Amino acid sequence: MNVTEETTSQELLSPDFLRKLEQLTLVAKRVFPGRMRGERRSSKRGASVEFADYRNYTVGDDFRRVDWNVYARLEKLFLKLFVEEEDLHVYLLIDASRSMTFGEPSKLLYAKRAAAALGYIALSSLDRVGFAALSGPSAVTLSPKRGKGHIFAIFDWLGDVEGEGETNLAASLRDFTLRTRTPGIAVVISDCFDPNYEKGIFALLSRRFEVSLIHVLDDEEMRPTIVGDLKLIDSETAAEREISITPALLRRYDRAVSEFCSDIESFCLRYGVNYIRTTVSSDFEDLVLTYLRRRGMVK
Amino acid sequence: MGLLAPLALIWLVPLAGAVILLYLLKLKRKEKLVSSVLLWRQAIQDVQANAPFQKLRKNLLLFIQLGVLLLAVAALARPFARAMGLTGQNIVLIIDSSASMKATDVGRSRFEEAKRLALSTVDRMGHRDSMLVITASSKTRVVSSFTTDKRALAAAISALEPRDARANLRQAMVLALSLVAKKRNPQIVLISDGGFAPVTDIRLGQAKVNFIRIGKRSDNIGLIALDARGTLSGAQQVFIGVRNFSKRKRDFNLEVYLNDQLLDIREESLEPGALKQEILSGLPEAGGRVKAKLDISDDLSADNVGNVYLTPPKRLSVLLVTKGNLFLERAFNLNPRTQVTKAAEPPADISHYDIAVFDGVRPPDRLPPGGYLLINTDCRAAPAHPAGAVSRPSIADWSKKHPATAFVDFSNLHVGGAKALTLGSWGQELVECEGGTIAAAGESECRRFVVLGWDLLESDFPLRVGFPIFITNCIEWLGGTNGEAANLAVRTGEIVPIDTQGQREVTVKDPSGESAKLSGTGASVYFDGTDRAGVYKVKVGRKEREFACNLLAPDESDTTPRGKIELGERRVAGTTGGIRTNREFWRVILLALLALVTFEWYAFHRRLV
Repeated sequence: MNVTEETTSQELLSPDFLRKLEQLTLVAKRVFPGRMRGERRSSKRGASVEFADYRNYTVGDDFRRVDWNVYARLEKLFLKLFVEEEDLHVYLLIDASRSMTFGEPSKLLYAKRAAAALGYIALSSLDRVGFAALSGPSAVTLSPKRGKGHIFAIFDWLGDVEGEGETNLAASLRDFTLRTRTPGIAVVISDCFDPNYEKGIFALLSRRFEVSLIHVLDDEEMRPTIVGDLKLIDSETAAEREISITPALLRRYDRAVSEFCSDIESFCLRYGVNYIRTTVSSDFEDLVLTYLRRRGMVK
Repeated sequence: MGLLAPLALIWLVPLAGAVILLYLLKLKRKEKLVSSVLLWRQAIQDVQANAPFQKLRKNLLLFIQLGVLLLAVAALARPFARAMGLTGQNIVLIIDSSASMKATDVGRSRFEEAKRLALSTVDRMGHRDSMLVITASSKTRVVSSFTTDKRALAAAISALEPRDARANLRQAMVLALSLVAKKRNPQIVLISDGGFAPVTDIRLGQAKVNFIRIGKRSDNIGLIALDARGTLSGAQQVFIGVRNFSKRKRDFNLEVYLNDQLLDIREESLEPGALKQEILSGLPEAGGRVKAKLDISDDLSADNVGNVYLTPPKRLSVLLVTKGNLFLERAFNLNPRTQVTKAAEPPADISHYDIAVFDGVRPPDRLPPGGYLLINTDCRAAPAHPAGAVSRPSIADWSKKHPATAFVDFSNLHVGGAKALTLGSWGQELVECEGGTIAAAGESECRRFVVLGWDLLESDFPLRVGFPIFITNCIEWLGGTNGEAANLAVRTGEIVPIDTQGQREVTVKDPSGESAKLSGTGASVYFDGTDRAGVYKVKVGRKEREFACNLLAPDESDTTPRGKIELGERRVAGTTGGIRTNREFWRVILLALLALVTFEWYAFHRRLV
């Protein structure tokens, strides 16, 4: 079953909210090498005003970069090195499996909004922003864009993302890493209903991505309100499970949800992944403007 | 404990099986699409929800429903527990208040024990049970009508007293059966020692009968016969019969009193079951009241004393009006009590004669008080009048109980021709043939009549053995109406006729001192309060008389408690100490069932299951 959500730029992010986002920038804990000169610190040594390091003078170097104060003291020729400012790559990876279509509003819409918001923040910071829709074993990507002018194209792309296929973070993230040359910040927005999600995260970490995981769940998934004797059908795998809802079962489910979330959180903590858990009923603007700030993902 | 309808349990198997089958069958579950069953899979412990018997495990609703089913079937099976008390809804309680219940072998007396058991039976009545109390002695008395008021029943029972009379249980049973005839779940409870004759001519029908037996033993000696008579020579004799009903030899003194003065004491000894008969002779001719008393300590004292009256021989003047009948003359002359005056025609004044015999001669229409033998004649005052002729009547029947015809055999009597008699309202049939009544008697207003409808000389009656007996009977009976009524000795419970002698009111005082006033307009009133043994004083105008009531009942003196009694078509065994009955408790089970159903509702709605 294909679930299509027609989302317009207006539904994704309001103009007022966009203006608020312009004040924010994504936080990168590490410095990533970029292709172009951006506004981010780069590990490369370049011509900028910020002193980085010294090296020995070799024949052919520019005399103007020689630090004469050092020569006066040491009578040796050393060249000053300056930090090269380069652009940051930010990748927003949205779980576009069928399970993300559940919820009111759907988790997919929520993820799109989160991705759009973070993407706009990055664009405002002249970062290079790329998107990927993770569905099944593959990742459908939008090549990285730079500049706020691309936001509407991004909105359009996000609007076309449909929730279908199974959640397979392991394969789809691996696919993404294979397609992407330049590492950067990777924000995975998913419900993590993949027992092998860890492999996917590992794939990103192994390619030196700075990974953040926004764990989105529906309120019904957190606190089910279904009752009676039911046959549950998995929306992705069509697996069936017959259950009789009892208070004891609900209590066990609650424990399972807690363990599920705490397991993911523990994993993220262990491997330095920034973990943010939210539900679709949470106020989205609060998530971005307050919560992500508090968690150090944006500033 | 047990089950009154155990076959109902059979339903448990198919019904429980059906319930379990429904649970085992695949439930039609509502399909629900969810984002992922990943978390549900972790929560669910049962891998196979539909595996047989997996679902049954820890399925509280199933067990509740099986419990409800079990209770419903159990209620249908009507479980009961044996408990003291009654479960009949309409109960007649019969308390034997006859003389034998005064025996002291149980507590203060059997009757007190009977009252105690009756009170405890009342106490154990269900709240919807209704009870009526009857006492049974010579008369049946309804003490309390059907009521659920335990206090009223207890008060009525507590006020009961035993009698010195015989038990007429047939009358009590007939009354009890008629009272419960159309009532639901009728039950009759009889508290007695069983000392009465079998009552077989009743039908118990649907009524359930319980017999609570009272009494432990029979250790009693009692007077069973006491009578007085005058011999032909005029001497008085008293006949005394005593029997030992106990199982051991008893020694006692027989005391004889005349007018409460000790006349004689005899030392007696009786083996178990033995009968002693004594004839006392040589008693003074003046007459009086003879009291026989057994000086002994036994279980029943009511039968240790008896009174009888010696009636002094009185000569009777007899007027014989006949054209000539040697048989009559001789028969009347032979009787030493009679002084016979023969006449061919009735004299003008016959009031001074005790007995007047009119043989073929019409008596005057107005006859003074006295006794009259009318042979082949009629008069206006007679109790029967000729209505037709019967040629060669063949005797069909005659009264064996009337004093005039007692011990007289009229069978094969040859009569040439007789007149069929039409009885008046106070006439009584004596001899009957196929053509009608040919001999009658009657008593009215101090006049007694015996009427024969045939000429003695046209029959072989004077030649028969019964003829002098008949004449003697007539002398005795007709001679008893001379204005002075003789003192009587009767059995307790019998009705005593009291000659009013023209008085409107008669006072009778019983042996305990209680007085009763009787009013009547006839020549006699009838006193039925003879339940106490002893001497009763009668006051008629200014004259005082007395009469005695004696128990003289072997079946009451024999105080052996009966284990079984015959009532109608059943032999009912007695129980001691009260009635144990099946007390059903299906109502309790239904309440439990209701509670369980309520819990099921609660459990389902509160998601306990």
